Amino acid sequence: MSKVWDVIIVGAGPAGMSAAIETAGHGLSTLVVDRQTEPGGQIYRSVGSSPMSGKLGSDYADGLPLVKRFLQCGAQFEAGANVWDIAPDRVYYSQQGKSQFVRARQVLLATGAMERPVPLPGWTLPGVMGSGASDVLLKSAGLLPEGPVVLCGNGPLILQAAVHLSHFKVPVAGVLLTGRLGNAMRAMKHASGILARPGYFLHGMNMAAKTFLGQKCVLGAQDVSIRESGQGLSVSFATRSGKRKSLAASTVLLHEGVVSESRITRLARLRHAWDQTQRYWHVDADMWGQTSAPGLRTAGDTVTVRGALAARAEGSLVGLDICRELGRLPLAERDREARPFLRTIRRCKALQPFLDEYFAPTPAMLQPHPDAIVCRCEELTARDLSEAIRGGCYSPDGLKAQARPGMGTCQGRVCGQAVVEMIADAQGMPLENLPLYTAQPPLFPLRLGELIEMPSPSDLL
Amino acid sequence: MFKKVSESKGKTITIYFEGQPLEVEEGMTVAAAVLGPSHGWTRTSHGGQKRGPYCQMGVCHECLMTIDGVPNQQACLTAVVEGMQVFRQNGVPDFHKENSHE
Repeated sequence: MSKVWDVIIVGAGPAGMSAAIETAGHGLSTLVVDRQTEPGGQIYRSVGSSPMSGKLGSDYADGLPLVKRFLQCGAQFEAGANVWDIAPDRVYYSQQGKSQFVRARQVLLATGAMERPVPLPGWTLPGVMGSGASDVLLKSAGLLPEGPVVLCGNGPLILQAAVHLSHFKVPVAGVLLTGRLGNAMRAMKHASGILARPGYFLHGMNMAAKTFLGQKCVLGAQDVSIRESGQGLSVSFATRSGKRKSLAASTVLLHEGVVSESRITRLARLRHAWDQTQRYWHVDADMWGQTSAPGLRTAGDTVTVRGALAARAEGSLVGLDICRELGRLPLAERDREARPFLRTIRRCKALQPFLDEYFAPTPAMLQPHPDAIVCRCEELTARDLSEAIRGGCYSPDGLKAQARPGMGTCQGRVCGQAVVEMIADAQGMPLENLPLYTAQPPLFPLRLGELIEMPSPSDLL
Repeated sequence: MFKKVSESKGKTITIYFEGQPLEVEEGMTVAAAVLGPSHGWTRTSHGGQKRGPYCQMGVCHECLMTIDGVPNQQACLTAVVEGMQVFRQNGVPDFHKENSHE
């Protein structure tokens, strides 16, 4: 009989590491798999080895003690392990070109979030990347664009990128902010939430002040497009008064917020919920991470995007409840140990509505210009897809069958949300009636040989 | 296009990008290591457009490269190894070539 782990955790970011510290700490056999080469997730990416550790402030440095505790907690950690299928008691993953499956009594999916891909003309050009992607290069390799850089988008990460660039004296040609001006007014309804995390709010205000005072900012930029120009790039945009302007850049960093990467939870056919303010699908789970499938749990940004502090507390809570479920913690003990984490989550939840409204995506930004490549893999423009939608198409899966978006190697991770927005707009359907593409195994392209070579369940019994 | 703002304490190793030797720091991903010498493009789409890594975290699959003879490798999830041979991938990769172990 092959080994059955007490717990398998997919994802070694803040939530996954925190959960593992609880489960391994209470004596449960714990396996943690992550597709990156080191623990940390994206927010604490490479914090254990980074050339930048100590140079990017406490938001990043706070990850180091957590990574150290995780590596010493007794959980087995498998890096470079990419999960490609999931069942309530079973996780299939590929590592170094070989696949295997592992079994567990409880599975925790803590796979985090991704930057919302928002197609615009020219976003496939070399030199254009996600602002979060640039941040990953900074953390993991100490790399920053040489500039001039144009930052474009909406969300706290845009402000953080602007602050990092100016701190390292990278020339910034402009910061195009695509959020609606009314967002601030709408957010004020939730202003009382600021009192729950005043330090965090002031930190954000400080970043905003540095950005507005130190950089050339354009508020309410719209209709953005990028083209090659000489040796570099040219970013064209419309101002609020409708005037067209352009900026020269060598690198363009785009960011339209962060959304749950729900492909793995959709593959597991878990119940999902639609977030109307931030416009994304995310798995539905209770405070202990319990989903609609027994034994399958989630934590952190997979459930709701609230950032690292909340993800750490949620991971700890889920870890504690797994210990209760598997008989390691009496209910009263679980509740006692859960108290500090519940307090943290309460504070994060109180501020979140303010942040969600303030950085709510602009609906017009989410309707791609006809020239924009929406499906990067299959090179399909919004014009190509609109034609198929107008011809009578009412679902992402239907559009995929008719026009091929989502058929390439990324398997619809990049175009999925844009396609939902396009269909909803063209057909006048509510977004919450349009689920993303159906997720199928394998979750990423695998060689057939790797599947054939995989030990079959009968070999292991 | 990208510059180093901080040197790592790790040791330097040699990989090959398009056959040219490249001194890189141990622990880097292939995507980060070839960012400069590739001028930001690491493959072409099947229609021939130049493409480069977009997300750096394994989502977008724009960084697919041929690494040590195996096509379709996600360069942003692969750590550099001494002597590694990294090539741009043009259009749809030739799977027959891989199967014949050339």
